[in-house]
Amino acid sequence: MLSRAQAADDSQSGADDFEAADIPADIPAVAGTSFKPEHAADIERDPGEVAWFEVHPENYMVAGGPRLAQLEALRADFPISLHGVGMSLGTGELPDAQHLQALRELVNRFQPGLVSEHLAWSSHDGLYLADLLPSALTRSMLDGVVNAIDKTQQTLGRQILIENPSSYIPRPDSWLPEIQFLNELAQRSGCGLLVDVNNVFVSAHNLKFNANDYIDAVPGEAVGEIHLAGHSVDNNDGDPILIDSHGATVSDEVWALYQRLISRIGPRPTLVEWDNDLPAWSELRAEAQRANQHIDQVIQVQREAS
Amino acid sequence: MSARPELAYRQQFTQALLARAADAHPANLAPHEARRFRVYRNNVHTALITALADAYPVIQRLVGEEFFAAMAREFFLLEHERESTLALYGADFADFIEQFTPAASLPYLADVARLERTRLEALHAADAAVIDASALPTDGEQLLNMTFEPHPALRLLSSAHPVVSIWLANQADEPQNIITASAEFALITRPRFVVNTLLLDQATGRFTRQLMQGHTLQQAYTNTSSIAGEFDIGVAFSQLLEAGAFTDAATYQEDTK
Repeated sequence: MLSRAQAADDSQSGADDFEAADIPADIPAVAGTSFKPEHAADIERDPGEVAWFEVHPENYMVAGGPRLAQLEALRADFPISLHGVGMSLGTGELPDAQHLQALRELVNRFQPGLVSEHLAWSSHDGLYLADLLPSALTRSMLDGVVNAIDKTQQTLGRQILIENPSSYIPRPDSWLPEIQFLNELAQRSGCGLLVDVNNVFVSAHNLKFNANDYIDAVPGEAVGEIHLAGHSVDNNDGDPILIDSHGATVSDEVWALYQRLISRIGPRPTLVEWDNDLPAWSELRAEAQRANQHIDQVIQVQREAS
Repeated sequence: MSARPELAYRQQFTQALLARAADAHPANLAPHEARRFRVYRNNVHTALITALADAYPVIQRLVGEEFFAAMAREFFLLEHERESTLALYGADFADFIEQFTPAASLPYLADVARLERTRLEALHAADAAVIDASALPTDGEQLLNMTFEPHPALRLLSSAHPVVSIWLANQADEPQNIITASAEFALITRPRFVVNTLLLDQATGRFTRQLMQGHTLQQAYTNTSSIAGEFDIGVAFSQLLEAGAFTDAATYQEDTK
C-alpha cells in the first residue's frame, strides 16, 4: 500500500494535455477544498497540504475577465474539480443544451480531474431558483435521470459523478430509498458517485434513517469523490432539524462516518466544502489536513493488515 | 391528470417557493413537514436576494438593506429572471425598478442600476488587447480618416441623471460630494481585469457613440459638433485611448461602402 504522499506523487506522473502548465488533471485520493477568490492570495503563499481545488462551473460561464484568469492561474498550479449546481438533472428531463455546451467549453479549457453534479433540481420552467431542490425518487424519475446523465456524459465525453442531496422533508414510502436510487443510477448510466457524508448525516437526522446503514450501503467501486462540510442546527419550534449550511467546521459525527466509509472502500479525493461565513484560509486548510489524517490512518491500518 | 406526478411535485414545490405567504408549502404535507418546507424557501429567497445585492451594491446602499431585500424579493417573485446561473443574474432589475412604485421617489435609481449592470457585463465580457496608441499614424489627416474597433467590454451609458457622480459618491473609498442634478454620460472600460467608470462630458459622450457606431474620427467630430458645438477632439480622443476603449483601427475605404 502506498503512502498518501506517494499516491499523490504517482498521480502527478499521468499524461495530460493542459497547455498552460505541466500540472496533470488527475486528482489524488487526498484532501482538497472549495476555491474561494477571497483565499487566492493566501493559497498562493501557502497551500499547505491542500492538493486540489473545486469550483462551481456556473461561476465561470462568462466570456472573459478576471474570474476566468484567476481560475487559469489556479489550474496552472493544481488539478481542479468542476462541481455543477445548475444542470437540474433531478428533473428527469434532458439538461438545457446551452448550459451543457457552456460546461463542455469549461471542461475542454480547464481539463478538470473530476466533473460532478447533483441528484437535485434548481430551475423550473426556465426560472432559476438557486437551491438544490428534492426530486421525486420514483422508477420513472430514475429512467429520466439515467437519460439526462447519458446525454451529459456523451456531450462532455467523460464520466460525471452524482452527489446525494441534503433533505429536510420526509419522503413518501412509495419512493425508492435514496441510496438504492443512486446505486441503480450508477449501474445503469455508468456515472460515478460523489458521497457527501455531511448530507448523509443531515438527511438521516431529518428523515430519521440510520446514517451508518446508508454509509455501509454505498457501492464503493462507484465512489469517485467524498464531500465533507459543516452543518447547523435549527430548533424549528421544538422539532430540531439539521441544515446543510457549509458555514462551519465538520462535526465529530461526520468525521466518524467519513472514517467508517473510507475504512471500508479506501481513500478517495476528499473535499472540505465551505461556502458561507468564510473562515481564514488557515482554518479551511486545517480542516483539509484533518481529512488527510483520517486518510493516513486508513492507509496505516491497511498496511498493517497486508 | 395532465402532468406526470414527478412534474406535478416540482410544480407544487415551485409555486410554494414563490408564494408571498411566509408559511406557504406544497399541499399534502403533514403540519410538522410543512414547517420544514421553510428551509427550502429561506435558502431560495436568501440566495436570490444575495445574488442581486452582489450585483447591485450601490442600489442596496442607496435604499438600505431592508428595502432592497423587499424590492429584490418582489423582482424574483414576479419571475422576471430567466438566467440559469448567478454570475450574470438580474439583467432586468433596472427595468423592474423603474416600474416599482415604492421606489418612485428616487427617479435616478433605475439608471444607477443600469450603470451597475453595465459594469457587471463589462467585468465578464471577452478579453482583448487594447490598441497600441504609439502605432497610430502621427499624420492628422490620416488619423481623422480612421475607424476604431470597440473593445468587447466597452460600454457607454447616457442618463438624464448624474449617475456617475452618484455611483462614485457611494464607493466606500470616495469622499461624499454634493451632487448637482444634471445629465451624465458614463464610459465603462475594462482594458485588462479592472473595470473603469469614467464621467464624460456631453460632447465627448456623443462623440464616443459616433465612433462606436463605426464612423471615422472626422465624421464623428462633424456629427457631434453640429449638435454639441465645438469641442477639443484631441482631448476627447486621448481620453478614450487612455481608457482602453478600442482594440484596433482601420483606414476608411470609401469605395467599399
